Amino acid sequence: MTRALVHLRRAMHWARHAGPARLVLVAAAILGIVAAVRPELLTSQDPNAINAHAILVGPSWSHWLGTDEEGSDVLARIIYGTRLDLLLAVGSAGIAGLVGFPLGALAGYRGGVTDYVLQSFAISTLAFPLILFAVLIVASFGASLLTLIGILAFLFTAQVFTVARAQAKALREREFITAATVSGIRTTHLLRRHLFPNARGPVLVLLPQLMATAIIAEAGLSYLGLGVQPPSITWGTILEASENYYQQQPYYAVAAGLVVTVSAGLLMFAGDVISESLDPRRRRAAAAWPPPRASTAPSGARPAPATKAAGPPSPTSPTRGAASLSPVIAGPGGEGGGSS
Amino acid sequence: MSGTVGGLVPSESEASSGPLFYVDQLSVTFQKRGRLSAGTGAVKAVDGVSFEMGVGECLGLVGESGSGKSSIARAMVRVIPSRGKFVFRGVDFFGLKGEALRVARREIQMIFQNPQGSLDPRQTARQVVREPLVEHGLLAVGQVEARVEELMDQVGFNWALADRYAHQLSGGQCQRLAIARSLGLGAELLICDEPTSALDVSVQAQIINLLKDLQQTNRTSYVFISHNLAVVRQLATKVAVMYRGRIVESAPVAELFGAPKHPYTLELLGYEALELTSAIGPARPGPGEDLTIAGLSSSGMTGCSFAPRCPYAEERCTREAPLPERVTDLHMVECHRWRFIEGADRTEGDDGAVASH
Repeated sequence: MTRALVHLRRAMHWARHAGPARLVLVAAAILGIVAAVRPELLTSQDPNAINAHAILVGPSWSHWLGTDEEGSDVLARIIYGTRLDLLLAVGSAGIAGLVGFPLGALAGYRGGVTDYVLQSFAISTLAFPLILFAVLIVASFGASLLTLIGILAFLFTAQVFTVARAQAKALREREFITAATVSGIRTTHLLRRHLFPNARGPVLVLLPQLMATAIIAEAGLSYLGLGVQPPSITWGTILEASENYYQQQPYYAVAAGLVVTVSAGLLMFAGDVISESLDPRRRRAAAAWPPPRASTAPSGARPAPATKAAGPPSPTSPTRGAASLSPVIAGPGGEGGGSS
Repeated sequence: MSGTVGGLVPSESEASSGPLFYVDQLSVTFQKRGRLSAGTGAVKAVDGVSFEMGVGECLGLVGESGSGKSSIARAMVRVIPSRGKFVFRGVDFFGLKGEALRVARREIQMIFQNPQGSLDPRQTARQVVREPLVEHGLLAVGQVEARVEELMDQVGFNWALADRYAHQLSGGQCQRLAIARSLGLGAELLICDEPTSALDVSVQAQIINLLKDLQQTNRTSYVFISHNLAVVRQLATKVAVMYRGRIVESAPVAELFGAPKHPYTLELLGYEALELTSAIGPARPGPGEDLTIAGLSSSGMTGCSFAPRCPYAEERCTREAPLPERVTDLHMVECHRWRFIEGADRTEGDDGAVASH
């Protein structure tokens, strides 16, 4: 009970300092996850209900976005369609991240023949048009969600690989990586502690963008009939079905199109916000997650023992009496202070 | 180019403790090669360099940009491939592999030119110092924190900043951290690659004093790379002057600054005298001189590499590469003409530098 209260207080503290961009993204993420996991919480309508008396009618109190050609509620279909779209987006981008990132970072760090072969392979993969590739694969394996995830994961892996490789290649030349090598850090630790964390930023920006691409690609492929097959509902299948009726019931097509556009846009935007939160150089103190507990002292305010009083006054504890009156240039660590 | 043996710069403290290490015929070659194009030649950044050092000594390595100073440093800590020998306390460091190499790395540490760049931007000051201690398992878990604080004290790192990241620290504090990191491993040899050139002048002095203190208290030895001769003069016990990958002159510090023999050394010293007030940059190129690394393809070169710039050069200098010659026991010079410019003192060096403008 009290624990829940503490969490709530911390969440509210975070929300107050997060800024509108983060709030919108978090709200959208919660909405998306709820729609995927428990769609019945968001609508009382059955997405597959057939109603011969309400075919292609406009918005009303019972059908907020109207109905489709079978009399089903459009809003309910969109909500229920979230599940497969999210699965596709998270699945394909997730696989790409888990496979492409370590592979790319390692190849870029190590270099050599393996790197050359993998990079050539990745480049040739990227040179291949997505739609053509999808048609080929779907023609061989049949249209299904798994095929779709496989196609996208494969293409995305090449993209993640390329980005991670470039990062690692640049990092390899940096002095702190050299310094870690020189101080005898084991290669596995060097990769895990220094290389991967410093290489992941651009990949974390890329992953939500890949998820957006996945949603758009799903819409496109479903439109061509290469995507998920009915009766499974995705935003792409809704969009495909709506095209013949946009004059009778414009809300049908517009809603399906908008939901694809808006979610793709939010995902694109999310990448940058995520990378900002993870990079200590760009992190805004208040907006980091998890937020600091109110009770803990601010970091850096380590109470200096009396013997250390010779140093300049700590910038985080300006109330240390006489010490704060002495000029900052005093003491052996005179160049002290941070630049920030 | 030369078939000389090692030990060109015998250690001063040889009799007492023996050499800490010696480097013999160290060469670093960079391949100029693209992915798709075949080999298009090689650049010899370091060309058969030999020296040795005793415990507590400091070898100042001076020379202009591109003379191979940093390549020597990087080759010695094995982050770039090289040929030659580096025997440290009787162990062939270049021959080590795997875990043996990792453990041996403790002894030979490096301080970099860019203090912020040598610290992981995602580590706090405390983590920077702690990491190598934990990695090498030098201390019981409970003692690590105390040791970290002790090290920070030793290098004069400001306590209050222990939980900050590198980008929140000044250059001087970062360099202190880097030194603390090396000290934690108990390094006997610290290779400093221009450790002060990125710092403010007042901070430079503090870092130099810190290194000097450690030299006395810990008997740490240094290979100190700098193009700032004033700094080298303060810290070094002997000095080696590099030009285009060769050590052209080496001598104990007093002798090198007092009685330099090589025309290039004269030029460096003269240049230093002229530009003493400004920060000392790479030496000015001579007329029509290409100082870039691309201009260093020395494979087809005959004769002394300094000859085109040398005010004392004669016909023989362009034809025949000079061999190392001993001026005194500890003073080596690589020049055909050093005997004839023997009388050159500081003032004449200045004149020479000005005249060749």
